[in-house]
Amino acid sequence: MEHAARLKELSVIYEGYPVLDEVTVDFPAGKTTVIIGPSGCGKSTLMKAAAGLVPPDRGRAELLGFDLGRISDKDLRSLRGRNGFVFQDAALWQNLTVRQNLALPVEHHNPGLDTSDVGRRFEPLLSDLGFVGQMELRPSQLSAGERKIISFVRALVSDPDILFLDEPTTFVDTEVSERIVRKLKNLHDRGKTMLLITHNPEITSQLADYLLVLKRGRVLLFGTLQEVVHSANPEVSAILSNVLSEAATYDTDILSLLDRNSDPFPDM
Amino acid sequence: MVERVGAWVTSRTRDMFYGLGFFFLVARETLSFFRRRVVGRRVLSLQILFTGVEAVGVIAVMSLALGAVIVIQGLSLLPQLGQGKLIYTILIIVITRELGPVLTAFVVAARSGTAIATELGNMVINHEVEAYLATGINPISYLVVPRVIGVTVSTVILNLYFNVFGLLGSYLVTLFTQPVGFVEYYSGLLAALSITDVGTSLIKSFIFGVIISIAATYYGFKVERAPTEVPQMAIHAVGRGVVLCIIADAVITIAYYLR
Repeated sequence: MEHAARLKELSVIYEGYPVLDEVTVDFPAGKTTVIIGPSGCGKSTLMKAAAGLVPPDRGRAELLGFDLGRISDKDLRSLRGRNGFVFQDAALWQNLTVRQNLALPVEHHNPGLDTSDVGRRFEPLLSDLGFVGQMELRPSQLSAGERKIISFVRALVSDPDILFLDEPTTFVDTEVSERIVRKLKNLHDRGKTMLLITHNPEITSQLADYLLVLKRGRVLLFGTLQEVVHSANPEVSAILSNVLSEAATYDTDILSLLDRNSDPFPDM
Repeated sequence: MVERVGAWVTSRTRDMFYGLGFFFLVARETLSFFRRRVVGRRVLSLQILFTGVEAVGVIAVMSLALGAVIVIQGLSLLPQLGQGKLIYTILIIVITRELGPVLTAFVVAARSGTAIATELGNMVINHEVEAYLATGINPISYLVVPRVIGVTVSTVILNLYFNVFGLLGSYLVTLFTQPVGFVEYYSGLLAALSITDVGTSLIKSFIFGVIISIAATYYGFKVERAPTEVPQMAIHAVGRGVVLCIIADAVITIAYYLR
């Protein structure tokens, strides 16, 4: 399959205001697409629409070859088992413990699995990310960073084909952020499709095969990292500089930071 | 004016069809709930614990007191009319056929209806429902169906408790006012009680349980964005649930007397 996800003339309208306006884009399979744009431009909504979590008011969305507007319940259940989603605010289930948050998707997709086998699905991932918190705590008792780690592990626990990552490294410390990026690079090398929202230029330069630049709900530019970084469009350059430099603390030009050829950082 | 009325009618009609669609979706998922090995059974156990087991105390106190009140009122009036034996019929009509199912439904709506609507509403706000969708867990079969089954089963069982405690309470009061033997008292009650009374009472409880749980889950999911919507929807859930229960009660009672 050439495209893992596809949006065609898709619009999402909240209270008469178009959050997404006639968006058409194909997300290539096995590649990482980083979505960037100013706050409130519709990045999260676009990602949710691509994952089928937000129904479009106009247009259509396809995911892994299925038209999400016409998919049967059975196909949708099986499709959901093939994708993972990290929400911006973690969106953990507050009435469940950390262990139950991670076990529930595994138990749901593998009925009858032994409790110890369920634990074996997520314990190595927690260990990789250096999570040392209590598994019997509720999400409200965790720090924001810990919640983000659990959300990340929950998305990976079913070994999905496509990952939707809405700012997966916000709230986490540098070490955990590096571990997450290392995990994402590993998934990228294994040919997983990833849609990633981040304001971090370092992560963008390391993971992005494609960049999608959004502005006020419309696609300003979609192309390979090199195409977008070297775009002559001043609006694109302005957004790249403004959005990504918010998170950058490096005294260097933001575009050269993104340019892999300039290699400003060693591999993590 | 015409435009506003038109908009109101359109909105109400859309809401009604949306509600009917929600009901049929829940009914369909309920049928498959017991066929599949689903993780929702844990939610079902917790719902029965919260709605059924934890409400036993409230139901017991209410029904004991109510049974006592009916007996005191009845015994102060009926013997003057030479109809003392009618107290058994009145107890069955009031406790078994009417107040048992209705007051149990009110208690369930006040405790569990608000709790369910508030919990689901907050889950929508916190994107937890989206997280269920994203992980492939159908929120209807995991969040709604166990609550509907749990509330319905609990309402029926609480109604039985209400009857037991209500009739027991009335006996305890008669001991103070006009002592009668246990066997004589319960023989009188059983003579006044028919299978139809029990059946009507259980059917009412079942229907009230379905109404309360569907209203609570429906309005819980009606929350869209703001936390301020949560208490509004909780009020709607209980208000509409109770009104629909009373309408259903009237329909069933009329049908009972028309048969």
